[in-house]
Amino acid sequence: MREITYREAIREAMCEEMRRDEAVYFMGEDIGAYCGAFGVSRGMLEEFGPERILEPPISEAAFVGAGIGSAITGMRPIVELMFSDFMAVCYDQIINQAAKMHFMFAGKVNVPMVIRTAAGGGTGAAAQHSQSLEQMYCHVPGLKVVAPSTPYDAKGLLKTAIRDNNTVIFLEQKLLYNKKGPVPEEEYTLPLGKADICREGKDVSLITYGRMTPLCLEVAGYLSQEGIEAEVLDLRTLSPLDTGAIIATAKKTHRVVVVHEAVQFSGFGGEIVSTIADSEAFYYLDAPVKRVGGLYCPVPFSPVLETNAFPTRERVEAAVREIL
Amino acid sequence: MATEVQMPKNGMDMTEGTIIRWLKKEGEPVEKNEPLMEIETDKITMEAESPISGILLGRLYEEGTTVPVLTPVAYVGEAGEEVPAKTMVCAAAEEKGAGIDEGDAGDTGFTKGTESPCAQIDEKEVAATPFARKLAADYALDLHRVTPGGSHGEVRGQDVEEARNTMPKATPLARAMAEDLGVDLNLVAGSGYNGKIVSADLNPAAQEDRESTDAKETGETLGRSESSAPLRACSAEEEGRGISVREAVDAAMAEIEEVMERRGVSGMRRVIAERMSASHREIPSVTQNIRIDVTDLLALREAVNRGREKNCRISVNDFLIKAVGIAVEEQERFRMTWEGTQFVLHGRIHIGMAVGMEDGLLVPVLRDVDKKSLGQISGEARELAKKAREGRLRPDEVGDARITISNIGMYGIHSFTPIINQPEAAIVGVCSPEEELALLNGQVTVRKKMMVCVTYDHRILNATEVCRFEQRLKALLEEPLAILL
Repeated sequence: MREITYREAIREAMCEEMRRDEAVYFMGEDIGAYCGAFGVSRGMLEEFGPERILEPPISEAAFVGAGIGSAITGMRPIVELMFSDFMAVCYDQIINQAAKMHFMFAGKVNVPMVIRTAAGGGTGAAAQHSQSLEQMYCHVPGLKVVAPSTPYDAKGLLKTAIRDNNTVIFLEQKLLYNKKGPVPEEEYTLPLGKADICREGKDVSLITYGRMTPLCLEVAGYLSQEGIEAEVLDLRTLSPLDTGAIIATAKKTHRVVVVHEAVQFSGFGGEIVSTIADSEAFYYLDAPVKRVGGLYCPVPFSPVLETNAFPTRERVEAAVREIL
Repeated sequence: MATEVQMPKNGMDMTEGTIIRWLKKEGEPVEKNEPLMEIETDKITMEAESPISGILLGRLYEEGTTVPVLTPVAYVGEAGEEVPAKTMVCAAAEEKGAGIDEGDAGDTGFTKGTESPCAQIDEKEVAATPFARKLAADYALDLHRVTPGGSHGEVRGQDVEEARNTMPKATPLARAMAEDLGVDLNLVAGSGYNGKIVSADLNPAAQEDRESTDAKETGETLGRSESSAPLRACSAEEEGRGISVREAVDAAMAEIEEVMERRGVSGMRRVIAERMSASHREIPSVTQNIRIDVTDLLALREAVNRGREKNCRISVNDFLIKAVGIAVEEQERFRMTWEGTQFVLHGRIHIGMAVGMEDGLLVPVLRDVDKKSLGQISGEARELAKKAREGRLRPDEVGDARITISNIGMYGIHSFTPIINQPEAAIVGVCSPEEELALLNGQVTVRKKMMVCVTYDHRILNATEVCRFEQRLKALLEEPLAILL
């Protein structure tokens, strides 16, 4: 199978959906001639023209609001926010409007919008450009939250997100944009709410998503040399959440480590642990469930500090050893 | 919780030990590492120590009882503390006829003074993971009976699995037979290692189970009466109880063959039998003989011993030990063992010394021969041989030799093929010096020559290597002054 980057996979998903459906259009800062902050939209202005590649002024509240407005009239906007941190300036639009309309208008209105945004750190972009705030969106009913870890997942899930009839927050991982992976040439989509067992194991489960998935696979590889077989479950979608897969893997291996880049305190990992604790998987636990998340601090600018503010291989490995 | 004191396992070969004497009374305080009992193995007598400080709470066996290694024999804990029930009846006690705990195959089995403790210990909370609790509930297993393996003292799922797998212990064949026969393994006393139930234990059990309910109630121990098999056992059907087909066949065969007596095997004889068979079966062995002129060696020995006390004279064997030590030090392949996929090279030069006894054979080991003088070696060898004959060898005085010397020179033997003491690479057999005529500078002279027979493991050594070794030995013994250096 051919290999393309995470960035190319996202571009392919958008282009294919725009060719397939006239209602789909793309809006965001500097996505035209500049191709977006991460070069995702290279060539799209040439193919689709300025009528479908819109470059609004720098006001997230205004253009997310425009996206919602167009969506309720039948358009299917893809809105790009340069950094997921900037959602803070358009929370009202996302949380009080996009997430609510379908319900407050008794299902007569849909908001078929995708907000694509670059999340996570590791790029030396400091505290305001490096956060992982997925937990905040997951907490709002009416929003779907996706965090793909491979080019294959990114393309399949983005196409599904574009076709979804209500708002999807699509969290792309900055550090993964250049990562290559196999992606078929032919058309495919992936369902939301379906986790992926990307490595089978019997001794311990690493439940993770996004940029931490490759890290967990790396740790699993190391542990395997010692005969410790770790199962790696990539959630792919955080809302809706594949609770069945979480419960199944916990029941299978009896030991769970939850890994995410977001700050551990009050992070999404708590939801995963709770899912296990208040299901029948509880009776299969043979050790406390461990969490490995970001340190409770604004993401530091210093590369050394930044690296160590996020889960490292050593920390994940140590958590596994603690419960084996 | 009270700490278990087990019958120790001293060395690979030890399968059971006999409690000769209790050194502490029940209720008496004992310090950590203080001797608690005196035990006897098939090789030696020794003291077994308490693993912790506390009060000796329960002695599970009377003096004179033989129990398998790693079997709990006592508990040490705090005063007044309840101790767990003895769950496994000592099965290997049959030789001594004691400790079988007739009518008590399952539960309490204290020597005295303790009422059934199960009810009380249930009140204590057991730390266990949710999974362990679930499994214990599924298997109807009491978590109190499971040994916790978790790092915080908690019982984990795997601990419950292990406990389940080990209660009761039985061979796969015995399990299959029990299922076929509908026998509850809990009612069968095992005669295998550590009380494991083997297929032979099930023969009478099956009959017993079908025909008698009494046995169930009393938990009568079964399948251990071979030695007293009565001749009338031919009519097993009519007798109906406790007599196996095997016993009947044995009895019939005894009549046909006019067997005078069937004799039990001592622990030592059994170990020798097993080890010799294993060595003979597993090692592709070759024996090479070399004749060595020991005239000068005998003369030197006489000179060295001149004026020495009779009980501290240097023997030919001492010279041999030293000479073999030198050759083994020089030729590293003689210090190797074979571990299936790799050779393991050992550094220290320990030499085993076969000591024949009334009923058996022991191989005490001289440590670090290369670092000791002939005089030291002589003294130690004499002491070790004495201890071996008196049954006083300590565990650290046997085992881990690189090579063994078996000297039967005093019996006029010309040549023999010794068997290697595994896992050593070779064994040196030493025969009698024999007088023979030889030409020396054109003169007919009498020389004393002695055969040395080296059996070696052909996986580790080949013929030319052993030839070099034997030539070196010959050179050393024929020019024996070098041995004294």
